Amino acid sequence: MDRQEPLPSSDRGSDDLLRLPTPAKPLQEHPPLALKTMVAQMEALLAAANLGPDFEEARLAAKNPERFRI
Amino acid sequence: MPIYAAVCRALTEAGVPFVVIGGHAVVLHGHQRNTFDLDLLVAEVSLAPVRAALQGLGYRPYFESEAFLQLTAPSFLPPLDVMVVDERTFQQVVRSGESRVLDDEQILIPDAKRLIAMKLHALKAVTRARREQDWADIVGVIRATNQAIEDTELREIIDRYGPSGAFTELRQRLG
Repeated sequence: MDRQEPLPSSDRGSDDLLRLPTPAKPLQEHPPLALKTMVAQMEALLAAANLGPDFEEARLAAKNPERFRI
Repeated sequence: MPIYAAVCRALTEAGVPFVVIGGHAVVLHGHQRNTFDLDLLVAEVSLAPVRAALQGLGYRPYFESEAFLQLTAPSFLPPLDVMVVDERTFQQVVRSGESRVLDDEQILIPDAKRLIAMKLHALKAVTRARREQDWADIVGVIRATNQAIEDTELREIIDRYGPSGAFTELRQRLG
């Protein structure tokens, strides 16, 4: 296992900020997944996305009808 | 067949609060794209129980720093990247988070603005790979959640967390 020295969060010092860390080098690529795992992940995520809010409906509802008048 | 449920259940049973971030959160905000690594946000106080719970499922850490933990997955479980933040930051994300259902498990994702902040922050790192994916994610989330780039809070987030010129870059990409 590759081990790094800790890095300070980049935004430390302010009360209302998210203090988010930055890796000293890019995170590593994971080994390739088995096809059945990839397919299961895609199916599960798609199902979850379909259970979520209807973003397209909300996006269309937010449009001002005046914009579409000729 | 559930693939995320085991991870969610193991963390919940261990009493570890977590937030799903990264590509999965992007998709769950309505921007469709492929993603396989499951990114989790946890508080630093939770790191030890997170590690124990995941190792109990067969995960093995292969890269670790104070703030990041990457684990290789056993068969038929998603690869995991865990980002560790201080408790206050974690609670900020939780307080503004949104609930979703993944594999019949209730999970939390950051609200769109906090997720955009994380993506912008990642873009500031000179070591960041997949920068185009980050920009595409930010644009996708802004569009999917109908954010106005001129919105005061979003503008502050872009200026605060993004790299130099991020607002101009985003305005161009949003057309």
